[in-house]
Amino acid sequence: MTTSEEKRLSQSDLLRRRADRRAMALPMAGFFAATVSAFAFAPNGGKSTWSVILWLSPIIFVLWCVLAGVKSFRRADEYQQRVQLEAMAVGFAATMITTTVFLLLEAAPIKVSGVLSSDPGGLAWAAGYAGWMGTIWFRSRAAR
Amino acid sequence: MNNRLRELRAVRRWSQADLADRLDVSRQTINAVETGRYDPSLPLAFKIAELFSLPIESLFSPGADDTGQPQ
Repeated sequence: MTTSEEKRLSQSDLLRRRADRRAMALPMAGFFAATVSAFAFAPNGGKSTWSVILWLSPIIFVLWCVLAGVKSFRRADEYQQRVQLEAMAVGFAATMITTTVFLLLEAAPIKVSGVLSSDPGGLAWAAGYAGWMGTIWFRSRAAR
Repeated sequence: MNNRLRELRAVRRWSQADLADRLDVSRQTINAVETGRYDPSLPLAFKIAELFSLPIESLFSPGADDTGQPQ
């Protein structure tokens, strides 16, 4: 039987977790602020240059998050890096498969309704993210 | 690949986290190596051997599926 002592995080885990939180805090806050600003100050469906800039401004913080993610990957140990790579491969495949399904449905004379037709990009994003996070969860379940 | 990590750790009454601290890796990595889900890299294998003051071949042995052929 495993005890709480057995289940505690190692120093390497704690240091990495702290560093990851520090690195992600600012870009996440920036993303949140930029998204709220877009909703508050840019008219939905507006076509002015200012409106487009405001709606795309969160991308800067997404790129910052990606950089923080790459640094986090470098801080991870060899097994964690392998799990991350597998998870990203599954997430990428899930996005590609979902996108291919939409393309095939578009090419075929099949009428789809609901979220399938209204937000295919969002659904492909969600499928990729679910594949990525789901794989990490599945691969690390034995150590929890 | 088979290994004696769990057995050697138990002799010293170390938890997985204790061993992870000594090897500067995550507890998840120790768990994966012990359960045979992951074969450590050579540098990590040498680090483990050094920690237990044992030759590397007494810690790790080929499993039934290890044919020595590249996959």
